[in-house]
Amino acid sequence: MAPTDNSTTKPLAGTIFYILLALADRDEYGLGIVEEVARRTAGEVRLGPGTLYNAIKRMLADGLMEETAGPANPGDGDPRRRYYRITPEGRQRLAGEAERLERLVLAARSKKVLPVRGRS
Amino acid sequence: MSPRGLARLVLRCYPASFRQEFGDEWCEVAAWHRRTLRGTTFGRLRYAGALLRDAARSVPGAYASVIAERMERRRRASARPVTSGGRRGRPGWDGIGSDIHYAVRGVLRNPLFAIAAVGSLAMGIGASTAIFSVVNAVLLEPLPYQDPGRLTIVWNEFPTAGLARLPVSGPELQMLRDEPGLFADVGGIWATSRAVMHDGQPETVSAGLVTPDFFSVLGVEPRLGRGFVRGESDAPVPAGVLVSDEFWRSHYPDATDPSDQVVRLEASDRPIVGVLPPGFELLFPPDGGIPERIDLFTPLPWNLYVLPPDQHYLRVVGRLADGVDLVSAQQHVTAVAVRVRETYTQLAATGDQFTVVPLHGDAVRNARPTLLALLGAVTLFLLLASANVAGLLLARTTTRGRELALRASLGASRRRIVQLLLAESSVLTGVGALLGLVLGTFAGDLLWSLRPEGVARIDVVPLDGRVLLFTLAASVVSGTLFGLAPLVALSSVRTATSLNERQGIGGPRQHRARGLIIVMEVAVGLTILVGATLLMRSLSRLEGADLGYQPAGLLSFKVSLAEQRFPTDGERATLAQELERRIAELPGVTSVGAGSHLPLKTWANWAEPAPPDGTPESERETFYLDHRAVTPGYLDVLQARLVSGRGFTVHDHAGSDPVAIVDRAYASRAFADSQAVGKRIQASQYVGGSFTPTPVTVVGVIDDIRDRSPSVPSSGQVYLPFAQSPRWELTYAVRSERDPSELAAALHDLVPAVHGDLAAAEVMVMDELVDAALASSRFVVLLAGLFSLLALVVAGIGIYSLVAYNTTQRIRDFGLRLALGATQRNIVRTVLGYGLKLSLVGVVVGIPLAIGVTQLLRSLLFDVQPHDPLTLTAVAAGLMVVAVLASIGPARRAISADPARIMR
Repeated sequence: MAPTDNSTTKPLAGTIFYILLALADRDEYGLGIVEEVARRTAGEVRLGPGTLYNAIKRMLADGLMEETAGPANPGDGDPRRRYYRITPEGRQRLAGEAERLERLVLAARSKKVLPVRGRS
Repeated sequence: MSPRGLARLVLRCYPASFRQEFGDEWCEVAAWHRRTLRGTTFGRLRYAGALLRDAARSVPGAYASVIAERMERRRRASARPVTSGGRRGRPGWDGIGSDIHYAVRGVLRNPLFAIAAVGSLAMGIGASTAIFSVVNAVLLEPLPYQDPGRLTIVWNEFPTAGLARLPVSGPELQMLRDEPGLFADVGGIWATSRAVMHDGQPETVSAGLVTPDFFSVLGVEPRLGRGFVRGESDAPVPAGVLVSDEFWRSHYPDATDPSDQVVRLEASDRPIVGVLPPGFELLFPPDGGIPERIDLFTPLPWNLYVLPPDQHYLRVVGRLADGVDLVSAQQHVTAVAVRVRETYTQLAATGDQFTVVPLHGDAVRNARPTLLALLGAVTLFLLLASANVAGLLLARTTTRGRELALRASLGASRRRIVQLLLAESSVLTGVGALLGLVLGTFAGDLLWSLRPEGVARIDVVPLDGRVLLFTLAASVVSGTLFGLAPLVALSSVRTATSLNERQGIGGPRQHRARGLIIVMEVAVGLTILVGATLLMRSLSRLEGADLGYQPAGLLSFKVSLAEQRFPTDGERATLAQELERRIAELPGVTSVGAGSHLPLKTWANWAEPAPPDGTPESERETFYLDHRAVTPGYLDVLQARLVSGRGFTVHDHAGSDPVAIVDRAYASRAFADSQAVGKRIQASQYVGGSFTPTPVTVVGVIDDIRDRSPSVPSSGQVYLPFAQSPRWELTYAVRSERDPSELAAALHDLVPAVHGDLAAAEVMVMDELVDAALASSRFVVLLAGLFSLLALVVAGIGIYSLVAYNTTQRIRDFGLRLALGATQRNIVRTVLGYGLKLSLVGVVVGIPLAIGVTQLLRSLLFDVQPHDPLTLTAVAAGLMVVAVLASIGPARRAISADPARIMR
């Protein structure tokens, strides 16, 4: 993946980051995203329905995700459910944000805010 | 409430399109929350909290995106770029350019709003600029003399006789001149007419008889030659004359040096010593008896001390000495008056006083209350126009509540939104002010060209810095006034609620503000209308006033029986009689008469005492009045009404008993029993070249004639037969069945035919004099009428726009009520009731305001009281009718509300 030009990429809002992250490895429907986010944050982040669908609407409009046909096995859940897939643009923004966070974490470590792990 | 019920309720807060698109899934996620929280401590409460928190965070955004979508669609549809709409504002004022751009576009998108707002403003600012430019020219521009601020005029007052603004006598002028530390320079003038013979043609010209220092007081230097010098008239040779530039150019077109030229004045050749600068005018008070333009000036031919101290004829102009202000000048002249009363005991009973007033202030004395009243009226009008724009802006801002809420929810700071609103106000003010300035300049010129004589005598309306400053101030004040209105609306922009409302914000605060504006518009409109109506009624009373004579159909002209040419009393008396006889023989002439001066002309050019016999010496001077010398036909031709006794006949001549006719005002004052006929009075006859007090018998009493002005009753008048008091000025009045212009031509031919040295001058229709006397009232009424019409229109627009807006706000309500069975009559009543109720409050507030403000008009009113109940009632009723008319449109809209469509 091409490195992101950080100077032109604004930080992503938390909600959008979580949603993109949930979609990073598989397509999901709304509730699936909420469950995935809750699981990944150990129940700390519980996306509300309004927040979720507002974000989805905006992300669709901004081209960060797109609607998709859904999983191969249609028996798996409600056929009315709409599934969402991350777009290359979304992935780029997600990576950019992850890198930004990583640099922040590294900075925190270098200032001994966090214990330095690894190659010691 | 059950958890599901709560979820359904919360979901309803979202826009319909959001619910349609995500409703089911939203419910699924909400259910997940419920499920996962069930069983925890306060699970239900935590669930409800989560839902509500989520809603509070996301509902505005949901609406925002719906609105953004709509705007985007509209933008695409109109294919016009939206520059700043919906953009997140940066802090600071750097977005001002785009705000103004946006404001201009916003205003243009609403042409009706723009026309109403800019139109109201332009009218308000234009009208006030126009009036102010006139006020500026008349009241604020200094007189065109040297250091005009130090020039004063001195009037005589006889407090015991109730007489004021009398001219000063010769000895009095000398005593004023002799007072040390009062005037640096003081001079006097007396205006009359003189006969001039030029190239064999007789001519009557206006003449000013002046003290030699008169022009140096004003600081006016002749353009050619020299001015008068002290002792000018004492020289053995005939005294020289100064002529006006106009006279010089018209009579001596080829001459370059005045000292080579003479003017044949009353049978003697007089050297021209100098020519005054072009356009020189005597800007004296209109009632001062001094015309603006005088053809020639001669030094007063007599020693000021020689004439009696009670012959008052001089208009005295003084230049205050250095360091003397008006207060100390008044103290000085009061001290002089004490010495006058001591020196001339016959004046003691009059309480003879002097008042010294600034020349400019006195010159514009009559115009000042009128102009200030007009300035007051336009200020109110500007207020009305501002209120109107405030109302329009308020309504507009209120309907824009959702847009503003959207901006707020998208992160626009409050300051940013205020900036946006102010940008709109500024654009409106700027355009309105510019348009107003243009309108005002034109209107100012127009007013100036329509102005009657006597309102002011200065010939330019300068659009100077003062006028521009005034316009700027008027714009800023009105702009601030109405610019604040939207902020009232803004103060209650609550994002969530505003986004939820269909029409926008419309809280009680805006409701009250709207109500207040209607009340104010009606109250201010009422005040303007009451003022204008009072002036109109006053004018109609004035026009219908009994003048005591019939000016209609009279033609008048003047002849000068110069004493140098016609030195004996008999010559002048015979000439007057002969002229009267020859004019009566002209075809079509029904009556003719003449007097030393006609009504409304040269009032009180001088005045002398005329006490009844037996008046104690100490009270003699209280019967100080105007004398008129008249021919036998005078009372007939004017159609004056004889109350008792007889008129003059040809038998009242120099050899017969001296007689007089008096008017009722004099008779009732001099003889309490009003049986004046047969009584003897002392009157001043002009015999043998001077005014001589003579006992005369009253032979008739006539109804009062309003000699001075149609609005001023007579204060007493004595008429003497011209044959017994043959003065050198004579004005004829001719009533005929012929066309006035034909008659005028006939008179121009006839007069020199009677005597080769005579000419008819100042030929005019008598109505013109009355018209001129009423002109200034008519002018004011015209302006006041115009303002009140504008005020009515502006107030009507204001009421209409606010009632219409109120109706739009409540259209759902009306639709619902119609659906629930309300009749159209009920709805109409509600809408009309709203406008009427507020207008009624406006009337209740406006009536005391109008009564208070119109007190200031008192000096302009004739025979009408400021609190005239008829006027107040009529105007209030008129305004209510306007309120109803303005509410009809909105009421129609309200009943046409389609319940089905509105409720959807």
